[in-house]
Amino acid sequence: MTSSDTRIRVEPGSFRDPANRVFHAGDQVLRGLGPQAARDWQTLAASDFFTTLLAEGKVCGTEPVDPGVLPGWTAVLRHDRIPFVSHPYEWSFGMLRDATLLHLEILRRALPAGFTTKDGTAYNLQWRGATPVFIDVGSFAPLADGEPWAGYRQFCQTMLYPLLLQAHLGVDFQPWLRARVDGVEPDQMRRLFRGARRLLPGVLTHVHLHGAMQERNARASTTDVRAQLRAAGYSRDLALATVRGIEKLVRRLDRRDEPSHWVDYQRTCSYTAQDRAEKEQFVTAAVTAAGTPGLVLDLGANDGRYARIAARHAATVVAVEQDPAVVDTLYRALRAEGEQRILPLVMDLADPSPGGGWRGVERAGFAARARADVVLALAVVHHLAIGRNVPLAQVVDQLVDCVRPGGRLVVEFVHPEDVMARRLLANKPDGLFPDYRRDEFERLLAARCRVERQRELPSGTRTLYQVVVGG
Amino acid sequence: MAGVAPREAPTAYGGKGTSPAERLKCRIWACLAPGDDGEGRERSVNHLAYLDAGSGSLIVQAVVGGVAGAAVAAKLYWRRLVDRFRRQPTDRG
Repeated sequence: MTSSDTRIRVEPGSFRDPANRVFHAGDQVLRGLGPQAARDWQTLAASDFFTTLLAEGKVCGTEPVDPGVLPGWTAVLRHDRIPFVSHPYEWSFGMLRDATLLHLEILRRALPAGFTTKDGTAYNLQWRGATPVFIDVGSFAPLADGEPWAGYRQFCQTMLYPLLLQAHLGVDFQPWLRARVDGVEPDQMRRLFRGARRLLPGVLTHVHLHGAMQERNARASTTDVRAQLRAAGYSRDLALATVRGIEKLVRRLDRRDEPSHWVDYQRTCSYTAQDRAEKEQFVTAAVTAAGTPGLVLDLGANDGRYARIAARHAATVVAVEQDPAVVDTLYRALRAEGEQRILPLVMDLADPSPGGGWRGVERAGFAARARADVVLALAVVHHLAIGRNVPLAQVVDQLVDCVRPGGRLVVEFVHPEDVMARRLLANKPDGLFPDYRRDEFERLLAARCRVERQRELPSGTRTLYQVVVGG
Repeated sequence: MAGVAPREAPTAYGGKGTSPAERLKCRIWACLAPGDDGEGRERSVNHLAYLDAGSGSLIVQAVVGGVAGAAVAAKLYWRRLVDRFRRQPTDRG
């Protein structure tokens, strides 16, 4: 998939480190390096640890290109494109933990080679399917002996603390990270981990001691503290020991299994075997209708059954599901299989990720990222229209807006008579949804799309539609 | 000036008019809460530091680095304490 748009655009999320900056030129991802960063890159590119990480796919593929493409920068790198950019608040616990372990592994391997990472944010990582990849090549810099990791605070706030919240308290971390681009502060964590909770793994040191040290040293400059630590004998070995200790801690953390309605959805939902077989055939035909789609969005993916079907024919499938436990189960299965095409994400379609960070554009909202070749919306319309009271016309608009012009939408309409729709309607006053009818849904679809085919499932209470958007 | 509280240690320490006992108290306080430290220290310009690493976040890494790390942290605090007393005559001058 290539784009004819070759204008150079600054990546809105790349501005904090003035030494380098990311740009987009068409489908290319470029990184401009200043004079010092260019020198660091030369050393990095010649190092064994970095070339090994690149070969293992743990660091995003990177190559130098003609600096002339970005005037004003000393050197320019081109990165392999990440198929779908996601944010840590859209990841499940297992995803954040694996991303954290990758960041720590990279740091552990960089230190003996005389390198470190300037920062330690979860935003340094992205995904290729269910495999994390470190993208911030500009973060590598020569290590000054005797200096602790500058990224430790960021690491705690955006990776370790969210993991502790979930592992120790059973609290979903996603809303915390979504609310604050810089993550959870030690002070907030200290209030949550009082009493005997102080003794939980990692809490006493990384939360309480860390918070107390920050308070007591609030007025000491980091330059002075660095010099004092160096004079006191802080060494590279000690930095390595610290990283190993954190890795050991993170490996011990796991998700608390809380009961979830959606975990068992495929078993408890109302499909017959015949319904399911016909639905799978319909989805396969829709996904392959125009060759190999580059990006398929499966909205309301649940256990990923249809995402897996789509992935047989598509380059990338993003499986969006609102329940973090369901996404985590799917992620662990995909990770174990070594799946490279399906990216599972946690997101509520009635409350999709907004733009975040500086001016609301540093972290792009879901709507700005979702332009798929094919969108699957199977058994979600009734949850939005009845369960969340979203007007049917707006549900159709939201689904259609996720499709690129000329792309396809595969949508399932659950008739009001269906047992699942009746279950949802039973929780609302009679007559609240007069527009929730098959004929009205078809009218709304036809107003924005061209219906290519439709099929009523054998049970007679659900209909599938394959439509082309704006094409 | 007799009412100088430890909270005001950064301004009171070394100041005239405080008793030796108060000055000692203030110096110990300042060493344990060394936010005002840094006078005359060697400053190394670090091009890595686009990020404010946080002074406390740097020190705590020594502590979480096991026994050897705790020893480094202890040494750091000991040196701060000793430095305070070494500088005392100069401060008076």
